[in-house]
Amino acid sequence: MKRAPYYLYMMKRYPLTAAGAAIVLLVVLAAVCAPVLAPYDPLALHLPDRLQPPGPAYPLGTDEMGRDILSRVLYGARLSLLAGLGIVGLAAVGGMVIGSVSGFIGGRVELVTMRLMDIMLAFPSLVLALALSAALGPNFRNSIIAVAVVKIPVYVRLVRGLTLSIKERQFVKAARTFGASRAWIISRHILPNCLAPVIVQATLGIGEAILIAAALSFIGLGAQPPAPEWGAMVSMGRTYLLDQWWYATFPGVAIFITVIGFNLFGDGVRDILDPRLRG
Amino acid sequence: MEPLLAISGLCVDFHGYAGVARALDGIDLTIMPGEFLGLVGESGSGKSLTATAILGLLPRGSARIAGGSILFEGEELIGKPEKEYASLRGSKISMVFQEPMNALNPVFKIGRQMSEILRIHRRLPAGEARREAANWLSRVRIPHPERVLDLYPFELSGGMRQRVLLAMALSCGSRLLLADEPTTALDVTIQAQILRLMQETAQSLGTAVLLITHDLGVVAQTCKRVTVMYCGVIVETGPVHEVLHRPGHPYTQALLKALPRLENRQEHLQPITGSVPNLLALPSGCRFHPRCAAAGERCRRSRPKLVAVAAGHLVACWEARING
Repeated sequence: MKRAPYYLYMMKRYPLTAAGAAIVLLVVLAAVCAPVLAPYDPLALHLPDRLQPPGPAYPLGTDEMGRDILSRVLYGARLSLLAGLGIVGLAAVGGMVIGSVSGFIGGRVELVTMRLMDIMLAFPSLVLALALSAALGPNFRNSIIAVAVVKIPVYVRLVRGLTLSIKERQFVKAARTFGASRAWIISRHILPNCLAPVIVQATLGIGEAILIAAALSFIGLGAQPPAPEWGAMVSMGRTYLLDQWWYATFPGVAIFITVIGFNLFGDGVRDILDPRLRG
Repeated sequence: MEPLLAISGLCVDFHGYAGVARALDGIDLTIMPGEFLGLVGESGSGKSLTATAILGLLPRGSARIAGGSILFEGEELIGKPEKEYASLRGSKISMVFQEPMNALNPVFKIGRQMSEILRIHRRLPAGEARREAANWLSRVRIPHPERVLDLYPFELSGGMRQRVLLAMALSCGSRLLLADEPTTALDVTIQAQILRLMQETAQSLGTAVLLITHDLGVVAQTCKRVTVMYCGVIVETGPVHEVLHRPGHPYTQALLKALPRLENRQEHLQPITGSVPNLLALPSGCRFHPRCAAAGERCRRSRPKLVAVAAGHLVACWEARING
C-alpha cells in the first residue's frame, strides 16, 4: 500500500476527521515552532503600546501591559497541549492500573473501588477539579493533577469493564495453566488488550481536558499571570471586552478551535478503530 | 513403578444459591509415567473439572475440594501454596485446550508468547528463548519456524495454532499433559494429524497424557487405558481394547452404540435417551438408572462400587457383576 494515496483516500472517506487532524497538526506546529513564529517574546512588555488594536506591528493587538497577543496565543498552545495530554495521560494510566486490578481481583476490592468511582462521577467535573486544585495550591502543574484525578473514574470504569470480559477469555485461562502470576496476566494479557478502547477514550477526552484546564486558569486556580495561558488571558481580557475586544477574543478563539479540532479527531479515531461504527 | 499421578476419592463441591452440588464424587484415577489415559464422558460429566482440579485452578469462591487427595510424583497437591503450585503449572503439568482459536493472546506475536513461558519457567535470556521457541516449532513440524515466530495468532490456521499450543505446553519439560478435547474444534483430517503428533512428541519426551474427549474413536486411536465418567463418578475403567470390545457398563455400551461405524451399515445411530441429571437432584442409587434399559430394583436403591470384571477392568454396575 502506497502511503500518499492511502492518506488521500482516508481524507475523502473521513473529511471531518481530516479537518480535525489538520487543526491538531496546526496547534502542535504552533506549540513546537512558537519561538520561530512569534514576532515578540510573549512576556516582553511594550508599555507605550498598551491595548493596541490589531495592526501591522501587532497582528492581534496587545494587552494592558503592551504584550503581543499573537505571540502569547502561539506560546499558549504549548501550555494547552501540555495540559490536555498531561491530564489525559495521567488519568488513563491511573485508570488502567486501578480498573484492571480491581476488575481482575473482583469481590470486595472491586466493590469498594467502583463505588468510590461512582461517588467521584456524581460531582460535576469542574466543581471537583476546582476544589482539588484549590486544596493543592493554585498553579499550572497542580491544576493538571487535579483535573487528571477527576477524570480517572472514566478510565477506571472503561478498563474494569474490559477486564471483566477479557479475563474470561481462553488465553487468560491458558496463561494460568502455564503458571503465569496474576501481576503477569494483568500486565501482559489484560492491559495490552484494553489499549485500543483506552486510546479512543483518551483522544476524545483531550478537548474536554483542555477546556477544564482553561476554565481553572480563568477562575485563577490554574496557570498564573503572566503565563501565556489561554484561559488566564481570557480572564484578564474580560474587563476590557467592550472597548478592547481583541484581548479576550483571540485566546478564546484559540481554545474553541483547538477543542473542536481534538473532538473531531477523536470521533474519527473511534470510527476508524471500531469497525462496527464504520459507515 | 510409582504412578505419576494418583487421585483418590476426589470430591469437588459447588456452592450456590440453590444448594451444594457435588460435581465430582469420589474420583479415583492413576496415570503412570509416559502413559496415555483417555477420559471419556458426555458434557457435564466432570471430565474438564477433573483437569481443572489437578491444576488447582477451580473457580475460587464457588468451588471447593471436599475431600480426597491428588498425589503428583508422590507429592500432595491439594492445599499446596499458590506460589509453588504456579511454578508447577506449565513446567511439570501443562494443558492444551479445545479451542486453539482463543487460547493465544491476539495482540502478541507467536514468538513472544512462546518465549514468555520459557522465560518464566526456565529463566532463559530473550535470545536463547527465541531460538528454543523456533526449535520447538520445528519439533511440532511447523514449516519455516523462524517466520512463524513473527506471525500473529490470527494469521495461523486452527491446526497450526494447536501445534503452537502443544509446543508451548511441552517446551518446559512437562511430565503430564492434560489435553482437554484438543481436536474437537478441528476438522477430521487435521484431527488425526494433531493426535498423531501429540502421541509421537509425548512419547519421545516420556510425557504422560490425560486425553479428555467425548469421542471414543479418538481414544481407540491414541490410548492404552480409558476411564469413563458419568455425572461426576467413574463408571468404568480398563484397557482400551477390553472396554471397547467388552464394555461392562450400560453407559459405555450406549456410548458405543451412538458411535457411527462403517462396517455394520447402521441406518440410525442409537442415541442415549434422556440427559445428564441435575447435580442438585441426583437420582437415588446408581446415577445412570433412569436412562438405563437394564436397571433393576437394586439399581434404584443403592449405588454400585467399582468391581473388577477382568484384569485391570473395573465396572461400577450391579448387572455387570452378575454377568461377569
